[in-house]
Amino acid sequence: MIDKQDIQGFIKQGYGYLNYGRYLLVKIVDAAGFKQWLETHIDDISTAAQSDLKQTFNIAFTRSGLQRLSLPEDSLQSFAREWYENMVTPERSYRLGDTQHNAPENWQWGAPHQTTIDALLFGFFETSKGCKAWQQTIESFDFLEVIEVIEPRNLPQFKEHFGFRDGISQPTVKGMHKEKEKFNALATGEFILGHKNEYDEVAPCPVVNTNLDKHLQLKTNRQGDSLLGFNGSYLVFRQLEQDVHAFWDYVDQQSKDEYNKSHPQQRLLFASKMVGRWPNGKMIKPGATAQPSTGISNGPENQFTYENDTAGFGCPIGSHIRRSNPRATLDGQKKAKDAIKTANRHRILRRGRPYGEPIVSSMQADEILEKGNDDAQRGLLFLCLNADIARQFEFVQQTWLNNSKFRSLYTEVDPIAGIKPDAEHLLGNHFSIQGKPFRQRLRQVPSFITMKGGAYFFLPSIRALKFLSTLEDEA
Amino acid sequence: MEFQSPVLVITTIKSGRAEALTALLRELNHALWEQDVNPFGDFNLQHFARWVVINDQLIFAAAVDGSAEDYLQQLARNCLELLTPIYEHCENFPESGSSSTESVTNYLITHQEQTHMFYHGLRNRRVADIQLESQIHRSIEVFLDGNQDSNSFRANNPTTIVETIKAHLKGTGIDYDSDDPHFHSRLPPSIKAAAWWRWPALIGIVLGAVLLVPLVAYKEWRERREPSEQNPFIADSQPSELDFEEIQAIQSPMTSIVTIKPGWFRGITLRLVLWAIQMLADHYYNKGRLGSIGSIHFARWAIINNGRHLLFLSNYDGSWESYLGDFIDRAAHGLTGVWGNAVGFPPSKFLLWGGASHAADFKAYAKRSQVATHFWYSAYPQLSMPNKLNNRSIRAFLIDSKKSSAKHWLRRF
Repeated sequence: MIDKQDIQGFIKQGYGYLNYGRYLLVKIVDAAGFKQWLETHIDDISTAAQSDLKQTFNIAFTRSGLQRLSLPEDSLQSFAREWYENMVTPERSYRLGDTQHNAPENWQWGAPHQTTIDALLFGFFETSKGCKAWQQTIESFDFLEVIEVIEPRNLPQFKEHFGFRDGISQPTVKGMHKEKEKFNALATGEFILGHKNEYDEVAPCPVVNTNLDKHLQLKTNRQGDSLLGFNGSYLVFRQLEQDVHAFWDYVDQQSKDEYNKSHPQQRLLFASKMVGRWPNGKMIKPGATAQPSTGISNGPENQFTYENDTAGFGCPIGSHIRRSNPRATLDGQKKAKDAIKTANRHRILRRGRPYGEPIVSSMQADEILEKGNDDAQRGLLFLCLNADIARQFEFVQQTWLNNSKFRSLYTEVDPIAGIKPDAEHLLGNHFSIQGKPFRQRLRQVPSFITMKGGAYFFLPSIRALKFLSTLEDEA
Repeated sequence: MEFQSPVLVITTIKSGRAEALTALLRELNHALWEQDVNPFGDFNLQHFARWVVINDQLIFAAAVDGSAEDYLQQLARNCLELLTPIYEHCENFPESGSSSTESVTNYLITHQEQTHMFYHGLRNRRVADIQLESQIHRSIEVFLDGNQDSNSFRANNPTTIVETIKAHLKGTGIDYDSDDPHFHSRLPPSIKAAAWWRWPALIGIVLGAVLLVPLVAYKEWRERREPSEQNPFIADSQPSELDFEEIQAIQSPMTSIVTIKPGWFRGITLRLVLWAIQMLADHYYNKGRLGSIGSIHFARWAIINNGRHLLFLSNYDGSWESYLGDFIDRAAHGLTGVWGNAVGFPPSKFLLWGGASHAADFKAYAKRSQVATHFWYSAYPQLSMPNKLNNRSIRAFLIDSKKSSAKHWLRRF
């Protein structure tokens, strides 16, 4: 059984019911002062054992953050290489598609030429007042400097800015969550370090020399090292700006007839095919041309595995949600069960929230198109948790979303989140909608998303936080 | 005659010349991938080719059409200007001025090494076939793009649509339907298809298994006495250099070299296992998939340097993470059977268990065993294995429409 009191609550839930929140990216300027504060506030940190909180507080660190807290180099090197190097090495930028307009030189935070981020302090609140007060408290500390304040914003009906219901499919973590769909229930070690993963193995876990653990906070392994990573997780943070007008304008152009007249139903169908679901979260049945209505007991669906839609006649093979989790979409395997097993080795726990005002409050395509481009900043604060950044988050990004050869496809990347190649290099910017008697192909799909900042964080366990707060400063 | 063959030529680099040679190969590689300068020119008998410098050795490996000897002869005839500056860095290469097509051919042929296991994803296609089939596919896609929004076109029955497509192809002048006598006949008989094959093969496998039992028992006994060593062949290439290779947009090379555990026992076991995998690859997995892995164009193992080292070369689709993930999920027994005989491999049990199924340890091992591929060539870098198979089926139907129904064929686009 896992010790929920030792695990930060953000692993268990995203606190979506709390409407206000802040992500504060900070630099630690006085490590001793920071540690002293952390030590006295450990009990304020939200854990997975708590529920129905009215306000939350969680904390995560980059390598430079733990370095500032005097964690020795040999310990830092026992962390995942991806975290150690962080998100902006040239090779990783290429792998994640952070090139061209998404390149780190255009970011608002997290790029090499900007202030190094040491930690992420974040909380969610019932009231706006409580949220502001918390931010002010943090900003008043002289042992840290707030580099960037990011404000998430819940949109009506759990939608993201393009107008589609988001956050429907989530794996459940064994020992932590109640199992919803059997194929979605994953081993604890996929998300929480130090536990058995989907390979039935305990993956390497960050360690520290036991001599440094003076108060014996941490579990030890058989080699006698202290398990600093145990009950922790890696937190991926990416700020993705969405160009909502460009998205609807593109599908509008694609659905116009030969007399240049818009066709709202066709437009909605194209947009939904790109996403892979209808705006209300319902799946697209093969042959369907209009959104089915939702009732109270008839909300978004998540029971499907694509076994009834192997050809992609409903949910296209290359659509955003099918790439993000192909479920039973075969890839050489003969049985659906085997395909799911393979896919489940690359899952992430999503904790995203939108930011910025919706372009129009209704988020309806007609009104969006009428309003035109307003140049306001809005998008998705993509956060996710995983135990193996390379095998989970980076794999999804590289092998599923940005792979122009996903399954049997030829020349297309994810139509929503994919990084489209340069215009002169026309490989990978189409989108095929499988159908009868043959496919329709949307051509030269532009990029609707721009990367604005990101970093890899380590979300320690409560015991690890206690250890870090009492770690002696370097002489 | 062989339809596709593995070529492996290993030569010794003159002392002090490895660095200059590496630089030259990198330059050629850069020109190929960044400036589209193909050093082979019009010579296109190789599907994939690579030159790799490892310590004082230069390895040339290629998957080619026809036999290895024919290929090397043609290579020397067509690409002397490419070969001479490379092999001038190597021992015993004919002196400049005296190097002729003939002497270079002899040089290459005499330095050939055996490949112990060779996997080819798509056996009955030559480079030229694959390129032609890709051209047919693209031409049809463009034609469909132009007609996809016409409701009257879409309302046609599938057979009519296919006829329209054929008329379009005829107009382009692409040779899309002339029958290729080798099209259907190049697969070696699968065990199911050729009944006469079945019994000798089965008897062979059973005999092999019987022989293996004492060997395995001996190995388990030995294992306990072998000190657990580190692989001395730690890659000296910068990790970031390898990382960049692994993010080539569509296909990637992998070059790995490890030290075989000493002693006659390992040599025999390794050869037996490679032979068994070759049998499986030839007679079961000969339709584009190795087990359930469908992303490998060509791969091979070769025991080199008098049985001391095991070389693994592969040309695969997609990311390193997905390739290694496939290994662990779908081929762990086979890989353990092979690499379990190498120094530093994660501990295996009874030859086929453990080892590669230790996911994190196996990935770390694979990474350590890898060296940079200094020059790497692909004849069709824009095609994945599933693309090649799909394109072949598209053409098969155009040659003989009994192969499929028009309705299903149209779903290939």
